[in-house]
Amino acid sequence: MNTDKIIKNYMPMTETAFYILLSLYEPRHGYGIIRTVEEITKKRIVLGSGTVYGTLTKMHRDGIVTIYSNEERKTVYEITITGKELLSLEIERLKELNKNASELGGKFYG
Amino acid sequence: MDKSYFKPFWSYDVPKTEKWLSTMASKGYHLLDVNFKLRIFKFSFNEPKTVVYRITYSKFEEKNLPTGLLLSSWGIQVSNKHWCIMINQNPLSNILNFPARNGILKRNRTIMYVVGIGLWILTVLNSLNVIVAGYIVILLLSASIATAIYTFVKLYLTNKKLRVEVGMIPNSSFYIPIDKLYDKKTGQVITKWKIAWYYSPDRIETWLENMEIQGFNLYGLSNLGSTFNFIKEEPRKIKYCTDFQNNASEDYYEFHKQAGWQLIFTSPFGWQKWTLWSKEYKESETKPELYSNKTDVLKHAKKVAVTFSLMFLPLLLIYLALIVFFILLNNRANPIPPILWMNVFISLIPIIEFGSFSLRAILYYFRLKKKYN
Repeated sequence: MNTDKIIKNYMPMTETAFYILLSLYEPRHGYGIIRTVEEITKKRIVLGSGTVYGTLTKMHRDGIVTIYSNEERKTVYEITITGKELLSLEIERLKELNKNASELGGKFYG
Repeated sequence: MDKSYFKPFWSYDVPKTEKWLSTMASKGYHLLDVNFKLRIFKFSFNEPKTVVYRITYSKFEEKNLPTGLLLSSWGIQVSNKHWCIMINQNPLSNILNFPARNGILKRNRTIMYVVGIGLWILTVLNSLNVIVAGYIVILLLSASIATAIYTFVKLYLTNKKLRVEVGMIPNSSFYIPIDKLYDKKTGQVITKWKIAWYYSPDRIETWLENMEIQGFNLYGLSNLGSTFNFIKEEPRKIKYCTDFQNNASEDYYEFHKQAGWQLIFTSPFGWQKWTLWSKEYKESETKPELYSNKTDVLKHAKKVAVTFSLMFLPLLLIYLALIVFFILLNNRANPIPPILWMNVFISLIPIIEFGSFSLRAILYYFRLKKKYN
């Protein structure tokens, strides 16, 4: 799938997709992703293994995540170059949202 | 001195082909290129070396290997749109990370599925041909059936071998191990029979959870999954989840087990897997869910409804075409012998069975849609 099609399909990203990709700052196996997301969201988001499995399968099919087998014969997920591009675009979008929220949000209080 | 080899069935047993490539390398013949369409492997002669090969299959061409594989010294030797032959100069025992077998397992499964349906159609057509009496056609059909069976068996055996290699459990149903101290005679043992329960997964889940609350602990299913066995003990709070996977990858089971789900049952035959998972939870905790998003639950129900309707429709059409064909032929000088009519009616049984599955799956989807809206 070419990059433009991926961008259209994935952006704006759901929290699930965003956090799964973000947790892949280093290669992880499935359960590691669930634990990392739980940690960085301070238990606000505890992803179901079915949800993560489904999302990772889709991401693998779209080429934003790749897999290999580690020494324990466990499947390890790693973000691809395309995946990194997608994530940076999303982070830029979130930065814009955050900047505007900080600047103009105050107008709504008091 | 270059050598070329024609290997038409190389993809039917990938590990065997990998070993063959290594053996060739140990004799000094190093893989130069592969013509995938013509199934020709080209080698160039050099000094003998011990190398490890791995062949992967994926939707996209492998251009950049993941860093995990690069760190373990893997490189791409030959690749095309889907196939990638990787090479590693280190001895097998020194290699930490390996390319995943998912792609090959999935491809083999898909081919077996298509071939399986093709075989069904071919055998139906073959029984037709006895009347139409064209011996060349019978020969062609028999040859096609033979090739189909060979393909199926070869791929089945390769996948079995690969599953053992990646440590995936090849077997089907599991019993929750009964506490050895528990005496089956003193407790009440209840057996309930439910055929093809997976087409109404939500109903089964609710039923099982209610049984548990009443104190009937599920301790296992029969191999085919038609019998549920309970022991009367203490009430438990358990969440049951039925999951359907069209072409589950090898890491599916490991994934959920790591997250704390217990595997109760998985359908023994075929590539389409129905799996029953359970997780116990305390009074104070929220009910665990396999799918944390409501949209995922609905997506699952839709997948079930669509898959079984799609499977059923072509079968129904082929069957109707068959009946029409039979009726037309019957008006000729040679009436169709009753035994062949019997054949037609026996084929009606799977049609009805499949139709009921399809219908229940659709009803399941609409039930859930109503629940969440």
